[in-house]
Amino acid sequence: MVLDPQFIWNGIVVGSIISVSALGLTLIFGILNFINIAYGDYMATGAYLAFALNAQIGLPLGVAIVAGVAGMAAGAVLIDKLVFEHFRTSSPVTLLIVSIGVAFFIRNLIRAIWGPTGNFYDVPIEANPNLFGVRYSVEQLSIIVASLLLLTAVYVLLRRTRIGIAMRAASDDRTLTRIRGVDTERLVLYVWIAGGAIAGLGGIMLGLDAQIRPNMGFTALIPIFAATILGGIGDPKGAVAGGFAIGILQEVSVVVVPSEYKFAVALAALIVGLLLRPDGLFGEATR
Amino acid sequence: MLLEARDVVSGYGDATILNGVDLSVADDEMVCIIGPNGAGKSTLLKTIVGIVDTWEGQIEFADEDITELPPERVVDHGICYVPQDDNVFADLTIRENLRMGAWAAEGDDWFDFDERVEAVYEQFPVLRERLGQTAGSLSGGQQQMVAMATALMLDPDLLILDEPSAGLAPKLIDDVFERIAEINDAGTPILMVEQNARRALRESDRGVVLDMGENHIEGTGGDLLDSDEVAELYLGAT
Ligand SMILES: Nc1ncnc2c1ncn2[C@@H]1O[C@H](COP(=O)(O)OP(=O)(O)OP(=O)(O)O)[C@@H](O)[C@H]1O
Ligand SMILES: [Mg+2]
Repeated sequence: MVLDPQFIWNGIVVGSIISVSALGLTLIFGILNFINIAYGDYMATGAYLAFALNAQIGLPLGVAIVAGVAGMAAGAVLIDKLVFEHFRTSSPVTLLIVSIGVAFFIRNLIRAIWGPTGNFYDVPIEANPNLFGVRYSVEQLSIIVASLLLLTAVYVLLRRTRIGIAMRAASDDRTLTRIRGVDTERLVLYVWIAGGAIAGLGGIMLGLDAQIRPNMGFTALIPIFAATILGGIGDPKGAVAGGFAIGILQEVSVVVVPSEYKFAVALAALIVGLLLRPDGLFGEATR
Repeated sequence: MLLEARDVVSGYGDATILNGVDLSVADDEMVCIIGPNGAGKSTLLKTIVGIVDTWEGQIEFADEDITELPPERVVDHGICYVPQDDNVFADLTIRENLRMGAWAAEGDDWFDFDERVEAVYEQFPVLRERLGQTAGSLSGGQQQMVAMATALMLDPDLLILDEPSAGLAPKLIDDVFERIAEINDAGTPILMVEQNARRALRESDRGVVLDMGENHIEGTGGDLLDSDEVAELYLGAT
């Protein structure tokens, strides 16, 4: 059987979206140490903010995207101040449950404002060009380019800047980071800004690739969690590698399993991955 | 006195661990705290640096009240602390660890990171070859060196060490004590906790015995070594 390169291409597109989204989730986890179930709904919020500005108000898509991303960054900080901040010393399980509440709230708010049906961005509809037998769209190309730019930017941030190194330090050992003089509450603020912006961008990418729906982020959580955990939760480069692995696997699997079972493939990959490498792709041994 | 802790009471949750401890360190001095496991030695150091809240009593450093300060502010006063466990950032490279050690001073006029790194490498030459390696990939002894080097990045006014020789091979223990003596000779006051009590008391100007969260005996290192009571209760038979 020859594998149709179209599936691989689709996998790279989906992998880009999952990687970006998983990166944001893992950054938040690294510092705050809890799994934020509302993350998927942050993604949807970013997608809807951009939708409102683009398709409803009529701003150019580029402007709407930047504003949507910025809006979600601000939103993540606001939600932290309103909700999560009050649970800083609670257990990860408590925070997880609180985040489920936040998730429901956001999703229903979205449904109340924009309705339950699917929407699309206002992008010109053109026949998709074809290269070496692979059909691709301008949106798909933009998704890949944007995600590569973002991943590089975050890499540089985490490796080369003082704040980025402190973020990695705090995700390693928060107390020791404070002992060295870092105001870790300030880092938390930066992480919500970065994590919220990344979630917003991930959601917009998802909306560009498919549809904008209230539960779009929530349903994307399964492959995103799979990528995050497969990569070793809290490990940014693991999340990115995991994202591309899950994305490509999921799309290529369509050849053998019906596409409704895509998410089952993500879960299966997660289970097999964890059995083989319990600490994630780059777990202890290789770090 | 440089550091002066008076009647310090602290603990965790409902458990009181320190029941009114006094401790002082003078300029240039090396002070060693000894005592059995669970005596509260680490808790005392954590209380001084602000990781554990002070419930009662007062802690002064260079005539300023630091009792209520959180750890990220204590370091601004020139107090650098090396915890007993988890004292390096395992995922960060050695250079990045040193960068974190310099956090409180970066941007200050007097501070030159590269110059400070050079000074620290002079003291810990093994680190030079391993710059880009993550701290987690180093041996226990090397990690201890990284931890101390990190704490020295600011050229502290007081260096606090919690069991610097714990878990090290005998040859490395000598190495670590030699380094500590050098640092103190160069003018940095040191407050340390040690299990290796005989060795530590020999090197120290003054020793303090802590037991059940209270001061017991205090004196010069030599006095404590000569005391029958200390020998019997805290140093074990030799
Ligand atoms: N984080 C904590 N939460 C609750 N209790 C603690 C905590 N850390 C230490 N303790 C308790 O406080 C007491 C004193 O502990 P501490 O670590 O200060 O002893 P220590 O003298 O340093 O002992 P060691 O020689 O074993 O290092 C012990 O009974 C210990 O169980
Ligand atoms: Mg201890």
